[in-house]
Amino acid sequence: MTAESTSTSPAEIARFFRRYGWTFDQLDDDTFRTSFRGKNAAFVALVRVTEHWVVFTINPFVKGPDAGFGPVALKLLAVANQQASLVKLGLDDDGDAFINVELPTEGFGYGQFSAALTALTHAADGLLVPILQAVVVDDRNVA
Amino acid sequence: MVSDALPGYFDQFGWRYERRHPGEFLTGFSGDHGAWDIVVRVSDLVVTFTIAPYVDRPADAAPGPALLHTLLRANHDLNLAKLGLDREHDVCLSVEMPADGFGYSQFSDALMAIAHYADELKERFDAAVVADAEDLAARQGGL
Repeated sequence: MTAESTSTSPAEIARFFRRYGWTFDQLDDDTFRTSFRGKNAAFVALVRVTEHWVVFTINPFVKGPDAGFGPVALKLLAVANQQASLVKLGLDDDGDAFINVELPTEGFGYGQFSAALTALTHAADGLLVPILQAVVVDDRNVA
Repeated sequence: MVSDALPGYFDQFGWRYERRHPGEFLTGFSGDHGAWDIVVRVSDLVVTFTIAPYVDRPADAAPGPALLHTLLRANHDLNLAKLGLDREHDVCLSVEMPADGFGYSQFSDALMAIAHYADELKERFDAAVVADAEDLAARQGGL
């Protein structure tokens, strides 16, 4: 382990944001909000520090259609999990698609912070358009 | 080198392993609901723990809506681990950690997470496979 790889704290997350060069708002003791613009859209991401995990989340990543995601979109989301390194995609309680990165608080250092934020932003920007296209295809198949 | 440290981590964790390639290890365990092989792969950026395939399903049937929903909803509940579909459309259960800063703490967290969820989710996925098979049979019967 590197010297900086000790258990992290919200204060450290704030330092990591500054070192990464991104602005952020601290919403409460444990939660940070940041935003970025990709090639196709702007995204808002939350970073939450719990006792055991540091979680980077974009939710909703894609709002679920009223009738729920169809088979093409569901399959794309499932496949994307295996192709996108470090990130996880899924459906929340409202049926919206989320994308996140979770890492243990123990041993969390700037290397993990940078890897997590880079993976999240890369995957979000790269997957948004294909997922929206899949939603349209599902819509056409139902019509 | 993370891959050179892994034999010591396996010994410390108390699990046997086989080193199949310089950066690839095979281990396994038996839980209450089954036995699984876990492949641990080390790349420059990521250390990945994978059970693939995780779910037994008919080879001639595409993943159905119940399986896809179960996979994507489970991803909302899991910490650290994730589920996805690989190129053969098999369900995979995996844990990924950045190689930067990877030590025994991360190794232990990853193995415990993948073993815990493999056992915990088995019945949920078996039920989804049965539901998809029944749905398919009903639709074929209705043709």
